[in-house]
Amino acid sequence: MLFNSIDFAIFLPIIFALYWFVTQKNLRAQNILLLVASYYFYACWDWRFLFLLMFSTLLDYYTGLKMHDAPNQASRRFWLWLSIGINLGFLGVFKYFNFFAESFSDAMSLLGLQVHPWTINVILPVGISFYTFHGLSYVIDIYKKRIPAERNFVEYAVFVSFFPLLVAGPIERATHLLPQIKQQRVFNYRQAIDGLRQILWGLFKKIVIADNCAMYANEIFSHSADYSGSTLALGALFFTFQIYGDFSGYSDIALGTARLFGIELLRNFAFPYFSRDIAEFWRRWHISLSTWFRDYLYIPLGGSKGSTWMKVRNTFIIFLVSGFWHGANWTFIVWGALNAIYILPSIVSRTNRNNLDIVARGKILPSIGELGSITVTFLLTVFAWIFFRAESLPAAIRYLRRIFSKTFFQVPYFPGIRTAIPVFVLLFFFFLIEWLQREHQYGIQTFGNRWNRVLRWGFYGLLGIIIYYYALVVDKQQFIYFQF
Amino acid sequence: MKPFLQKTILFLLLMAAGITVIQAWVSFRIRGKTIRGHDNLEQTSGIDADLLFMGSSRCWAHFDPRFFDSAYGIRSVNIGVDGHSELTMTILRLNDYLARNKAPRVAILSFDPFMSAGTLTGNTNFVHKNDFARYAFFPSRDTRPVVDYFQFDLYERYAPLYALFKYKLFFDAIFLDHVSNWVTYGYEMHDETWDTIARPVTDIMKTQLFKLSEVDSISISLKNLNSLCRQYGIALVCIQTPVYKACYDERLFRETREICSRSGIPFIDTNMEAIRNDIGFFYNSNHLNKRGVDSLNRLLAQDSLFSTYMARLTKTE
Repeated sequence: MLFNSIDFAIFLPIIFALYWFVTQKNLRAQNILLLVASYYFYACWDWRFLFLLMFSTLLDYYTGLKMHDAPNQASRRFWLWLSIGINLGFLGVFKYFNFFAESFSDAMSLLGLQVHPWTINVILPVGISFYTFHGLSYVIDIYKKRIPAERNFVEYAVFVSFFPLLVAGPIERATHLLPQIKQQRVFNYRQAIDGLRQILWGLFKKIVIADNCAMYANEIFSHSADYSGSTLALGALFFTFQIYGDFSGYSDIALGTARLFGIELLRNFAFPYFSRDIAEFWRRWHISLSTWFRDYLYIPLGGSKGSTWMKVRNTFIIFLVSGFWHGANWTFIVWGALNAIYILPSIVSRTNRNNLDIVARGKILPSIGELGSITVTFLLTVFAWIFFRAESLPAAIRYLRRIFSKTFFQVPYFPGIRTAIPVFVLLFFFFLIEWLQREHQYGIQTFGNRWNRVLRWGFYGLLGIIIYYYALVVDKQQFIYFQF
Repeated sequence: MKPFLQKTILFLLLMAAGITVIQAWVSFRIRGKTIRGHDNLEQTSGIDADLLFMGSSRCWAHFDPRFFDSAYGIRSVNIGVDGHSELTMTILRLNDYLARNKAPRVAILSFDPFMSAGTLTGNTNFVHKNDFARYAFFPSRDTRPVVDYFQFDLYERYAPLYALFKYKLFFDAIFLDHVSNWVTYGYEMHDETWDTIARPVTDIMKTQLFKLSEVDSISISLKNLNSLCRQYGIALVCIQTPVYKACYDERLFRETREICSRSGIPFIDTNMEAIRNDIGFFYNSNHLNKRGVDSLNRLLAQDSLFSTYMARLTKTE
């Protein structure tokens, strides 16, 4: 069930009505409803993988209890590593097995040995990377004694599988989400309205921005040999906007939906393309994953403390793992390595926390220097996205070679370029609003709040009609992060 | 909770109302007009023709009503449906015409081995469905059969703007700037010669000809069409127009005469060798260009059977 589908438009009001009208005064009933709804939501993808989700939930619930009740540290460590081993084992089998088998075969062939890899033909269970990380953060937090083990299975299961975040995050922490699940929720008008507004903006990002850009990015990336360097550069830009619109749009819908149920999820995006350096970009892009890696990998490895060599090592580890988390392909690993290279100078020189505030706070326009920094950072991310999007490393290199050729100076052209003109107008409008709202949580959180109701509702209605139009005109695209 | 629900529902209702108003305005704007030329059901309403041409694109591109109007002093209309060689579609289109107009006295069916029987319930030919989507929203009694034929779904029929958006008709419907040959000439005139570099000569169109095993079903459909014509007092005549030699199959092009003969329908064959063998008469393998259409008209003028029908129309005029 996609967030941008009619099925979800029917599903959500039904669950909302049951939640606030039927189970309103009974927390346990509310949580059971959320759990059933979440399992139904997940089963709509493929009911068979529901058992995997249930198993993963049961495993972490059980190991959490065992760890909590363990008589000594050795026992606690045993249950921790059992949970980590099984969780990562599932992830390894479903997501990485074929990659390792084929890479092993390739390595052997370099040594002159012919090995026919044994691969498995299985589809990736949607959301496995996300709910596995939910579970891992939970058991690690218990091991580190940050939280006690959760004894109520339903509440724990809702934490893992709450439907807005189940398939593509944000990756929640037990310390943040579990307390909300355990306490009575009271309907809050402002929170619910804010949720609806965020859903509207998320749909706009996904359907109008991302799906439109996807159409052009797919065309240019899949026929890159036919186009000039300038067109390929344009294709990379389209993908840059696509992935932002797609993933941050999804996150906005998830956060907005959760708000309708009185639950606040972790913020996942904070206008990353207005970042002044790569460190800032990573504080603003996929925040829940970046902070997960920071807390559960980077800091345990020593973080930015210690020798320069340690900093370099830790930075590379975290970015290579992050790249690998995205998928079993060398393109993601190179993407991660590139980001590590980008960020490394600032880590070593301790300037990575220079830009903690919001760019040009309280001003309409940035300074020339800020604009220059934003532009350079943006271009670096565009460059890295080429590896992320390409089918393979050789394809990415061919793509880049073509960009940096004489044809870069030709006028960009691809079939349907005229139809892209309204998309450019919408992109301009979109980034203008995002820029004006960069001090808030999402694009239209306060945009137009001071207008009279007719104007404000007219604006929302216009957004609604544009979404309706493009939802029907443009081919519906799967959310990119569902594959991770 | 109450103010939240009130405001949300009010907003959704206002939005639905706004969309409905836009749909109503677009429907009003395109009423009686064609958006892309193929959606011409309303264009032919109010034209009480003496002579009607019907069939597929080979009718749409071969019969020039202006010629017959001036040559015979009658009123004629071409209701050929491009991309649809199913007799079922011809019957639907004729029914639609008859629902809006007085019955013509003579109907010419462009009949050849490209025709098929078709089916009302399981149609699989959706050529120009996007153009016919303008009729999908709350179809009238007249347009419902065509809407059913194209299998428009419930959303397309009852959600405002849904069909116009989905089939990318919305902006064309607003601007109405599409210049169609059909609108200008009453038929799809092509005055260009065959660009054999862009569209090389092949016999690929032969695969579109009917199989002998389909003859029975075609005959039944043709009889149904003839019955409908008789019911309205219309004399049905079949005319086989020329194809380029690359897609000519003597056995099948002879079979059409047999089918008509068995069904008791007059048949005129203009598929002459002189035209068939000359690429200069065509803009592709199965459609005549303007020069070809002029030759077809001359051939028809010389045909005694055709002249008899025209004389009948002219006399009573």
